[in-house]
Amino acid sequence: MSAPALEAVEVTRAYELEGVTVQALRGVSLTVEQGDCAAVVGPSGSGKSTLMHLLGGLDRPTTGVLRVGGRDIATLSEDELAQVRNATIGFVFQAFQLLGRTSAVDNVAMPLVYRGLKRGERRRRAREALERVGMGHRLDHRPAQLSGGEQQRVAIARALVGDPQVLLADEPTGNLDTRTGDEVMGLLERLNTEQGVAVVLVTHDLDVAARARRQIRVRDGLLEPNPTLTPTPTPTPTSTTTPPEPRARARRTRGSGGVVPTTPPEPRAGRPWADGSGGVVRRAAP
Amino acid sequence: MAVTALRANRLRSLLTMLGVVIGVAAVVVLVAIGTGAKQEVEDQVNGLGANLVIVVPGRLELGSAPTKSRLELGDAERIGRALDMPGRVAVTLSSGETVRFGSNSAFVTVNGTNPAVPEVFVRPLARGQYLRESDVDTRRRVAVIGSGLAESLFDGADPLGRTVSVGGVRFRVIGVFQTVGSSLGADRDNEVHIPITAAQRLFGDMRVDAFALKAPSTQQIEDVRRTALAVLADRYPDEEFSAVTQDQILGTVGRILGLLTTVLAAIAGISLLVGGVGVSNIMLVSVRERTREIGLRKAVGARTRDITLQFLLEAVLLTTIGGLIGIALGVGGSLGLSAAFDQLPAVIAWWSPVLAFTVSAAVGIFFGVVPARRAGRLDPVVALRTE
Repeated sequence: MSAPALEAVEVTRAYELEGVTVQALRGVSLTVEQGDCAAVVGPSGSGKSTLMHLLGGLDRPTTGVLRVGGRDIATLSEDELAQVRNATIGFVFQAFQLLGRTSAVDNVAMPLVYRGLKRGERRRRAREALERVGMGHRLDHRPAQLSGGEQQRVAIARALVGDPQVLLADEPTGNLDTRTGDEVMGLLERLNTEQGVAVVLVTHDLDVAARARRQIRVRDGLLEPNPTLTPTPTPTPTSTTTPPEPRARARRTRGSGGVVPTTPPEPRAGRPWADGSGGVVRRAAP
Repeated sequence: MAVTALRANRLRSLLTMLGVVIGVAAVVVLVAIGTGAKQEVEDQVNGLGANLVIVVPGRLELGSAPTKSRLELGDAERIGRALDMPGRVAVTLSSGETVRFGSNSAFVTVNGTNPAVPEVFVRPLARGQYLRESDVDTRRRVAVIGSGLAESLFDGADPLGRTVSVGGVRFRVIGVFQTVGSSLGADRDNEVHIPITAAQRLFGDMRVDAFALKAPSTQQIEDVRRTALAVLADRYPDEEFSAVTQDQILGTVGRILGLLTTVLAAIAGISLLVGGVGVSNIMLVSVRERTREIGLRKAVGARTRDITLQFLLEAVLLTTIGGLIGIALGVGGSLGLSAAFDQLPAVIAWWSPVLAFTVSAAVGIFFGVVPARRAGRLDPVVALRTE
């Protein structure tokens, strides 16, 4: 439990798009501790997807240091990085990304193929993972035979099957109605509190973000300081049986950044979030 | 994994395979027919007898000018004396003639020969006896006939002692050959053998077409060949003669058939190549269609080589399954063809299915590599974003 699960130090990411350099991230430092529960929020184009890909080890920073599971990914080959992803990260996607012609249990077992486990062992673990997400009764169903919420549960089981340190969920409720979205969030919270899996959500739904223990706000490729949405880590609802509040699905994307004060924070070295107070921005340029 | 993917697109997989199936089947069938033809020729040539040397006027080559024979019966004696095997040089003078018995008639090859024939060639008799020295000396009008001719002329009755008309002249049947089938295009079951002297008179031709000798052993074939040629060169200084052995005949015919087989197989191989291009094409489509799957697999830990191998395996599976079906069709087709047509002897050499399978697997690897590498190199971030 010593090393943080994910750690980014002064990470930048630039893309070449038709000859134009786009600075998606301009210098982001953050730490995701073991058992953390954080929501990355920000408007479209803010760089939160890029941040998500970097944290998940799918992409490499242009500059800066990124440690996944304690290992600096700059020192890893593509294949080693794939194995680090396999061992450390569980991905949950907005569009579930299940293989259509494959049963739930085989979908869940898929990451274990790349761990070299035997088929029987893979399926046994996949069944366990499906039971953990309450899908033990749908083992042989194909994605098309499942509802959206059920599909996302299967996808979460797939993320869990390799016992990762971190679940990275990219808009996990984005394709679900409010009720099912709440159920999926409840499941993620339960996995976080009961099983100690760190959860990082990327969302632009502030209601979803509010359920995380802390929020990380991204805007124009930078983290914003101390979000106003939750000035202190609010007690997150940990009970999965919390009845979903009748929330309007209003996308308050504009509000996510507009109300945030832009005063630059005091740059700090070391673990910016060690005190658990929230996000810290380190600006690349004043 | 690979199987699942192929099964999911069953029709497409099947159609893709079809190119390989047809290519492999065509190669197998054509090689089988080529091999069968070669085998058949070898059987026929070897069935004539062992250690044969056949002496003909002129050059025995494709395209050389046909040469009028100036050989005569006396030359056979000279060669026999030179080789110290008098009376063991078979002679032949042949012509197509109509043979009649009662109301039945047939147009067959009539061979003027001498008693050396059974010693040189394998010509077992079913009934009666062969021509004797005295038959030749006295120009006796006797005949030994093939089993097929006996059947068609006599309708099952015993031909021995009967008189048939050969080219209008009456000959008495003294023997019937056993059935031996045809050889190098000659239907040996519909032949008539008469004394060479009788044939010379019948055909109005005092010459001899060719000689045939049998060397005492394989090692002596070359000696026999040379001696025979030397005798003739001595007697006819301005003429050319050829003395061919069975090996030479087999060599020539074998080369021609081998070349034919190679050309046919190469043409069939082109369709296999086209089939491979089809596989490559479909695999590229498949990679594009499954970009998100590839992105997902990479995200959850698939290495580049895992993805490459998965797609390569799919391609190889396509072509080898196609190859196996093709081999089955090819073997079945060859056997069917040779059963349906007597002229098409098909022999499945052990190496032809093995080769076909190997080639189809190689086609899968060769044509699968490009799509598979493309799949393996996809960037997971980009791949996951694809719609």
